[in-house]
Amino acid sequence: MSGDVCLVLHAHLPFVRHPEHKYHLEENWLFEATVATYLPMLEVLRGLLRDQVPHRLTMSMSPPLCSMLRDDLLKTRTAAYLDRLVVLGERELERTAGDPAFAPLAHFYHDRFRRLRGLYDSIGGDVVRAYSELQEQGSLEIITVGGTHGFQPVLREATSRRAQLEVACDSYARCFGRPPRGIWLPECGYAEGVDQLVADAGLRYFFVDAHGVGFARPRPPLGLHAPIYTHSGAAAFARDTESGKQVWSSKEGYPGDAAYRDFYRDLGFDLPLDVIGPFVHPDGIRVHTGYKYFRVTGGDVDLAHKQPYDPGLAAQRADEHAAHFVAARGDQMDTLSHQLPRRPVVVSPYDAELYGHWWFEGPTFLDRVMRRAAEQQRFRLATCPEVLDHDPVQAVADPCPSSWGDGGFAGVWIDGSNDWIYRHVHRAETRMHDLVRKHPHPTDLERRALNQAGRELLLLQSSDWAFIMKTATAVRYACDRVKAHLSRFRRLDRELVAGQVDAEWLADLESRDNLFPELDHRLWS
Amino acid sequence: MDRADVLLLDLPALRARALSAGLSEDLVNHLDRDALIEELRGRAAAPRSQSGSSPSFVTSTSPPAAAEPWTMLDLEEPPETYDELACEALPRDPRWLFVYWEAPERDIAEARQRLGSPDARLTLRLFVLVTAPDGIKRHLRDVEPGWAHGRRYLEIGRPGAQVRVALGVRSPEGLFAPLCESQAVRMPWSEAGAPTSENQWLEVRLDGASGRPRLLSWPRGITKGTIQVGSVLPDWLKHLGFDNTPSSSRRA
Repeated sequence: MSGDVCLVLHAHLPFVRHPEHKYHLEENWLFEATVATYLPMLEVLRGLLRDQVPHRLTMSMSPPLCSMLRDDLLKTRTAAYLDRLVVLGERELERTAGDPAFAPLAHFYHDRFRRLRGLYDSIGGDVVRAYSELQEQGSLEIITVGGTHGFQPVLREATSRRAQLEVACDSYARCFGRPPRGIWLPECGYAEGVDQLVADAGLRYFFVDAHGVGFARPRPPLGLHAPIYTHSGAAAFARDTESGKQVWSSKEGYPGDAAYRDFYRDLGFDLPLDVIGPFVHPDGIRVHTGYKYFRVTGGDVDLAHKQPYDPGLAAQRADEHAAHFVAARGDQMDTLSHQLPRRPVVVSPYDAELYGHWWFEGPTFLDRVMRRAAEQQRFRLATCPEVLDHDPVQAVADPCPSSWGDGGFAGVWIDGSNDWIYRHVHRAETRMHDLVRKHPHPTDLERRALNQAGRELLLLQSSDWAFIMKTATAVRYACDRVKAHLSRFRRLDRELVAGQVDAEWLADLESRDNLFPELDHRLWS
Repeated sequence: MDRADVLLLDLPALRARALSAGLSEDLVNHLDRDALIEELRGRAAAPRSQSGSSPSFVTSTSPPAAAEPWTMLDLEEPPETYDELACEALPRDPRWLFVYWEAPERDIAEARQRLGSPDARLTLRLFVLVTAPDGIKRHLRDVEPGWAHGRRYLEIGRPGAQVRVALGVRSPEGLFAPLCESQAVRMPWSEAGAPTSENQWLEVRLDGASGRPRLLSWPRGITKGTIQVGSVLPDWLKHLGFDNTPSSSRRA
C-alpha cells in the first residue's frame, strides 16, 4: 500500500422545525435527505459489514442534523413522509399498469420506498443511533461539526467562536456516547486562531480546502498530501482537488452521466394537481416527490425530452465509475509516492447529500468504491486518526484563512446579498456575552431565558442563511429565519435586562427552537 | 442548486424570461424574485412537448404556483441602527475587506469637539501591516464613508496583511480623533509561501490516560532544514521514521 485515501462525507442540514405548521415546505429538506441519503447510506454501510468488506469512511454529522433526526415530532413527520411515498407508489402501480416504459419504474420506486420505510421502522426511527452503532463496529468514523454550522471567519466574539465548538463536542458526546476525535469546520471555514479552539476542545484534526494548506505559512514541506500540525497541535488535512473534481464537477463529474437519474424531472411537477395533489404542498405548491422516471439523457437535453430511466444501466455505470475512481486513486498514489518522501494522503470530502439526494446512484457508487478498494493493493482506505497514528510527526505551519466556497475564501458568505446580517449577528454575540456576565446567579427563569438566548444566537449564526441568500434558493425563508432568531434574541435580551421574562412565551419558544436542551449559557461567559 | 439556470439572472432578466415564457405582464410585475424563480421552475419542470417516448400519463402542466403562504413567528424587522458606536472588519478574500460601521451623532459631535474642529468628517482609517523580507511595513489610508452608518467593501490589495480599521473624525488639517476600532484581522494569502529551510516538526501522540492529543517536544531536536519534494535528505527521513517509500523516489 503506497498511500492512504480518506473518504469524508459531510452531513448537515440547517435546523428547520415548525411545529406551528402542519406542513412546512422547508421541513422537506430533512425528509428528502433522510430518504435519499441517510437511509440508503446506512444500507450501504451495513451491507459492507455484512459482507465483511474491509472499509473506512468518515462522516461528519452536524449537531442541528442530529437534533432533527432525534426529534420526536420530526421523526413522526419523516415516517408520515415515507408512508406518503409508499401510498403514491401504490397509485403509480395502478396508473402505469401496462406501460412498458414506466410500470417497471413504478415498481422500482414502490419497492424501494417500502424497503426504506421498513428500515426506518426497524431502527425505531433513530437514524443517529443506527450510525452510532456502525461507528462502534470500527469502520465508520463519525466526527462533529461546528455548533449550528457557524462560519468561523465571520464570527467576531471569542466566546461565540468557542461556543460553536463546545456545543459541537457536547452534542456529539450526547448522541454518540464518546467525545469526537475530529471536526468538520463549517464550509471548511478557517480563520486565524480557530486551530487553538479545536485543540482546546480536545479534537485532533480538522479539514481545510487545498489552499488552506497550500498557502500556509511557512510553506509546508510535504505539500498538500500530508497533514500539517498547527502550533496548537491540531492537525489540518487538505482537500484533494483531483478526486473532488471527479465527483463534484457538474460538467466533468460522474453524476452528469447520461444514464444516471435526472433530479429535476419529478412527478410532483409532471402530473396534474388532481392526481398528485395529496403528495405535494396542501396549498397546491408543487414539490419534488422522489418519483423521478427519467435519466439525465444528455447535458443539453431539455426536461421535456429526457428519456426513461433504467436503474440497471445506471447501477452498471456506477460500478464503472467506481472502478475508474479506484484506478485513478491508485495512479495518483503511484505518482505521489514517487514525489513525496513519505506515505501520501488523499483526502476526498463531499457533501453527504450529494450521494443519493442529488446523485441518486451515489450510494451505489460508494459501495462499489469500497468493495473495489478492498480488492487492490495500491492504497488503503483510512481515517485521519489512522494517518496520524501512522505518522505522528508532521510539519508545523499556520493554515491560510480559507473556505471551500466559491472563490476559496469568504466571498459566498460576505456578499452584497447577505452582508447586512453581520452587524446584527455581532451585536447579538456581544450582548450574549454581556448578559451572561451580568447574571452570575440567575433565577431559574432567568437561566432558562439565558439558555434560550444562546440557542437563538446559535441558530442566528448558521452559515446556511447567508448561503441561501447568496445562491438565491429560498431567500425569503432564510431572511425571515435571520430576522426571527434576531428578534427572539432581542426580546429575551430586553426582558432579562428589565427583569421581566415572559414565562409563557419563553416556554413556547423553548418548545419550538428546542435543539440543545442541555445548553448551558455559561459557555458565553 | 436545482434552479441554477434562472438563479444567475437578476430581476429584470427574470422578468424578461418570465414574459417570454408566457406569463402575463401583470403577474410578472407583481412577483418578487423568489416567486419568479418558482414560477419559471414550475414551467421548466413541466414538459413543453410530448416526444414519442415520453409518457402518455403526463396529462397536464401545473397551474401557476402560488407563493408559499407564510407566517414566521416572532418576526420583526431588525433595527436600522442600534444607536451605538460600531466598526468591524471581515476579510472577504485576499484583496477585499468588508467593513460596517455606526457612529451616533452625539459621538461624532463629541469627537469634533475634542479635535476643536466642527468641520471634521467621519472617517474610516485603515491600518495595514505587511510583513516584507526587509521588515514590517505600515500603511495608513483614510476613507470617508459618507454616512453615519453603513457597510462597504474596501480594496486592501495586500494579501496576508494584518488590518485594523478605526472609525473616527478627521479635521481638514489631518488630525484624527478615533471613536472605536475593529478587531485586527488577517487578510488571506493569495499564493504559496516561499520555500524555506526553517521547517519545524511536531510530534503529537494521544495521552494514554485522557485520550486527548498531547504535544511532545519538537521531535529529537530537529527544527531546521528542508524536506521538499524532489530534494529529500535520506538521513533525515530515516531519522524521522519516514523511511517507507521506494528508494527510487528519493534523491539527495
